Amino acid sequence: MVFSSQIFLFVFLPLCIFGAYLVRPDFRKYFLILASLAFFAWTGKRPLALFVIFALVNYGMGLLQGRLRDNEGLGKKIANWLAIVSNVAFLLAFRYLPFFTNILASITGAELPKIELPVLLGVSFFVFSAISYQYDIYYNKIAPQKNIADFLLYISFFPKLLQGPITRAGEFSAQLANNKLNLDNLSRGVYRFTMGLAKKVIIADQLGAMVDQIFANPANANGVSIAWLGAFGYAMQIFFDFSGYTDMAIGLGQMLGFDLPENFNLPYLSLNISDFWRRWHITLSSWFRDYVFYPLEFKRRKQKVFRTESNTLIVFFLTGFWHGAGWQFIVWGIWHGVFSSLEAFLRAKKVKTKAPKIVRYLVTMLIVLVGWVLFRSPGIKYGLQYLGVMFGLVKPIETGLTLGWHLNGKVAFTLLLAVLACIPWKQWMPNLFEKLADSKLNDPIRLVAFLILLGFSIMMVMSSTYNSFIYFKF
Amino acid sequence: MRSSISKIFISIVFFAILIIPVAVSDKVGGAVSPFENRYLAKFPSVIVNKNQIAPGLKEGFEAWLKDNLVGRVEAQKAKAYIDFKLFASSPSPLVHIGEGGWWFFTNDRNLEIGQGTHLLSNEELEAISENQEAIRSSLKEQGIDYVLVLVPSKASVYPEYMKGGNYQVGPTLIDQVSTYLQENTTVPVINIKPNLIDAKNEQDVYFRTDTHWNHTGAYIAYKTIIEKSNYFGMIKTQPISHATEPATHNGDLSAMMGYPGLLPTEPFEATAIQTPHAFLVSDSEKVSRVKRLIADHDIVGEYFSYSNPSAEKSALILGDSFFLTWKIPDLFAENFAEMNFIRTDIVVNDIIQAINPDIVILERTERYIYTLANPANVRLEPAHQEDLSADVVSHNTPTAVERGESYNVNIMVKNTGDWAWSEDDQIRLCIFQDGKDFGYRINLPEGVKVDPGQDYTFVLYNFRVDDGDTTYLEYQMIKEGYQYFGEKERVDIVVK
Repeated sequence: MVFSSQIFLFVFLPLCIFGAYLVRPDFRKYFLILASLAFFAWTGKRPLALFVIFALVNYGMGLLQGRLRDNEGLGKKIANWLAIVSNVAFLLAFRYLPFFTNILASITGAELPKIELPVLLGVSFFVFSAISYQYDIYYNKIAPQKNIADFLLYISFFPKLLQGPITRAGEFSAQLANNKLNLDNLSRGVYRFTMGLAKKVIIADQLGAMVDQIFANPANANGVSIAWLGAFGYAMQIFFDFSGYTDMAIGLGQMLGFDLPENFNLPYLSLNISDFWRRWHITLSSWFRDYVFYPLEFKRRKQKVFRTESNTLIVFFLTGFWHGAGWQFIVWGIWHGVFSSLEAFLRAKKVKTKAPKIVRYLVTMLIVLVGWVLFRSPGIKYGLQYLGVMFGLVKPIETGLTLGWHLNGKVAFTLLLAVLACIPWKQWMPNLFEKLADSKLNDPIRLVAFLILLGFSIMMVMSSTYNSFIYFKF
Repeated sequence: MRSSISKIFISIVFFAILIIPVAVSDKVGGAVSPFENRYLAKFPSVIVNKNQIAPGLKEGFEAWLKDNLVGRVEAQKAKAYIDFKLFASSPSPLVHIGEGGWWFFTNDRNLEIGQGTHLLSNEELEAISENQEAIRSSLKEQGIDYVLVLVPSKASVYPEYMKGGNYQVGPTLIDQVSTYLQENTTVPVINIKPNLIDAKNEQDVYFRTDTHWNHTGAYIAYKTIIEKSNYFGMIKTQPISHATEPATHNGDLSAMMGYPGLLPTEPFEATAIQTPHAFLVSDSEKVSRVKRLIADHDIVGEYFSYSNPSAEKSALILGDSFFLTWKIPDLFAENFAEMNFIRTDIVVNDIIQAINPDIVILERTERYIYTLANPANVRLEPAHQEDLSADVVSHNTPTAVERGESYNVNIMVKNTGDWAWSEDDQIRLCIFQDGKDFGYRINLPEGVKVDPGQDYTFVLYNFRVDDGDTTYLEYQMIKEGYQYFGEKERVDIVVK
C-alpha cells in the first residue's frame, strides 16, 4: 500500500487518522500498532506473519541484551553478535537470496534449487531500524524497550515502515512518551503530506513515464540528446519520488503527533560528493556513519594509511548494495565511494580546490548524474553503453527518433517545475520570505498553494483509475 | 499557517476531499461506464460459505474503490483537458499527437511498426507460415478456398505525420510478413498497404482522429480483396459500385485520451450502397448453431450473417475491428449469396463446417499480425467423426396448458446413428422454445449409455408458461458445442 494509492488515500489514511484522534489517548499506541500491522498486512498474510516474528525476536533479543548489559564477559558480546547477525541474515535472506544464488550458480555452473521466499516490502528499512536498536542497547545509548507495545510501534510505525526515514529507537521512544495530537500537528502534517503527494504525482510520476520509455529502449537506440534527457529526467524523478514519499511520511507522522527525521536537504545544490551524501537520504547516510563507518574507524584506528578512504569505500559499497540486489547498485555505490574517498584523502592532505563554485557544482552534478544512469539501468552493461552514448563514446543506432519525441510540452513544463522546486528560494531571497512570513498574505498564499496542489494531486491520483477498454485486443 | 482558522480549514478540506469520493460512491458497483466502454467493478463479497473470508477480497475491494470513486471521470476529463489544451500533449500514452491534426494509436508497438523498426523474427515468421499453410491445406481438403488479408496500421500508411522523427513510407511489418508468406508458402496473401498508399494522395484513407481507416480506405480494401480473389480464381464477382454522402465521425482516439469530446468531429465521405440486395439474417437455425459454437469456443467477438439471393457462393470472414464496420460487411454481403462475419482471430474448423462457406477470408491488422503465429488460434481438428443421428419417437407434450401450471413431459428419442450417446460426450436433448435455443438441456444420467438402435426417454420436469397466449416447443438432440443432430419435433401449445 503506497501512500499515493487510492486505497491508502481514500480509505486507510482517513480511517487511521480519525481512529487515532477518536480513541482514548492510552489506547492510541495499540490502535497505531493495529493500523500499522494492517498496513503491512496489505502485502500479504505470510509477510505479516514473518514481520511479527521478526519484531518479536528483536524484542526478545533486546531484553536479552539488556539483561546482559552489565555483564563484562563474553555473554554480552555474544548476545549482541547474535542480534546483529540474525538481523543481517534476515535481510540477506529476504532481499538478496536470489542474487547470491545466481552468483553461486554462475560460479559453480550447478543448477541450484529455487527458493521462493515471500517479498517483504521495506525489509531494508525495518531491519536497519532493528540493527540500530540492538547496537544502541549494546553501547548503552538506550535501554531495551520493556514495553512490547512501544517496541512494536517503533518497528512497525506505518508512516516510516516501507521507505523510511530510518528512525532511531531513542528518538522514537521519547516522542511516543510525549505524543500529542492537536490542531497544530494535524494541519502541519496535512500540509506536509500534500506537498509530498504533489511532488510524487505531479512531478515524479509524470517524469517517470518519459524516463521509463527512454530506458526501455536498447541503450544505443537513444540519441545523445535523448540519453541526456533520460538521465536528467531520472535525476529529477528519483529526487521528487523519494523526497515526496518522505514528505508524506513526515506529514503522516506529524498528523499522528510524531516528528520523523528529515531525509533530504537540497541535495542538488551540493558542491562535492561528501556534501551530496550529507543532503541525500540523510537518515541512511547517518545510519551508515554511526553503525559502520565510525566502528570501522575505531577498529582500524592503528592503520595510518588510507584508513578513512578505505572505510569510506566500504561504506559506499554497502550503501550501494543496500539499495538493491544487483551489480549496478554496487557499482553505483562504489562510484560514489571513489569520489568520497578522494575527497576524504584531499581533506586529510589539506588540499583545497581553487576551482570556482560553479565548476565544483557542475562536476558534482555530473558525477551524480552518471551515478543515476548506472542506478536506473537494468544492468551494468546497459548502463555503460548508455553512458557511452551520452558522452559520444558509443555511436547510437539510427532510429529516426528526435528529442521532440520525448520532450513534449508537458514533460518540458514538469522538468521546469522540478528545477524551480530544487531552488532554495528562501535562502536566496531571505528578505522577501521574512516579509511574507510577517505579512497578512502569508496564510492566504499558503492556503491557495495548498488547495492548488491538493486539487491537482487528487486529480492525478483519480485520473490514474481511468481504464478505457475501447480496444482490448481489437 | 498561523491562524487557527487556516489550520482548521486545510484540515477539513483535506479530509473532505479524501472522504467524500468514497462516502458518496456506488456501494454496489457493477454499473456500465459508457465513458470507458466497460463495466465498473462490483463491491466484492466479504464472507463466503457462511464464515469464510472471500478469496480475493483485497483485490476486489481495491478494484471496486478505483472504479467507483466519485469524481474520477471528472478528474480524468480535467487532466485530459489540461494536458491537451495547456501543454499540447497527449493525456494518454495510448495516443500520439502527430503533425497536421493526425493522431496515432501507440499500443502494440504501433509507432515502431510505422517507423519500420518493429519486425518479426525468423522463428515467428516460420510459425506464421506453418499455421497459415495448415489452415490453407485443411480448408482445401474440404473444398474451401482461403485467403489471408493483411491491413496496415495507420502509422504505416501515414508515417510522415508522426512527430519526433523524419519518417517516410517504407517497408514495415506487414510487408515483411506478406513477402515471407508469398515466398515460402502457397497461401494467397492480399496486402492492402500498396493500394492505400497509392490512394492517399487523392484523399484521406484513414480517419485522422481514429485508429481505423475511413470509408474510403475501407472501400479500397474491399475492392482490392474482391479483385484479387477473382485473380486467384476463387470467385467470379466484381466489386459493386457505390455512392458517397457527407458524414461526420467522432474518432476513438479522443475517448482513449480520457475525454470523448477532446478531438473535433471529423467530416468524411460515407459509403452508401444505393440498391442493396443483401439483408441481415438474425434468426435462423444455422445462425443459432453458429452462435452456440462461437460461445463454446469462448469467442467473444461479434457475429453476423447476411443473405443475398442475387449472388452466388458463400463467404466466411474472420476479422478484427477493421472489418467490423466502415461498411465492409455490407459491401462484401453484396458479392456473396451468404456472408458470415465473425470478429475473431481464431480459425475453428467446427464453425467453418457449420457455416460451410466456399471461401474463408482471414483478416488481420498489422499490429496484431503476431497473433498469426499463435498455434492456439488454429483449431482445425474435426470435433467429431462419429455419425450422430436421432428420431423423436414419441412425447406427451400437452397442446394446451394452464398459465402458471407446471407439467412433466416425457420425450422418447431413438439413437439412429452409429455412435453411442452418453453425458461423457455431452450428448443431450435440447429444448427450443418459440424457435430459440435458450440453453435448456436434458442430460443423460451419469453412467447411462444409449447405444445405436436403442430408445431413451428424457423427462422435461416442471414445464410451465407464464406469459403469452401461445408458445411452441421443439426437441432436438445436440452434441454440445458442436452440432444439433437428428429429427427436430415441434409442438404448438395454447396457453389458457
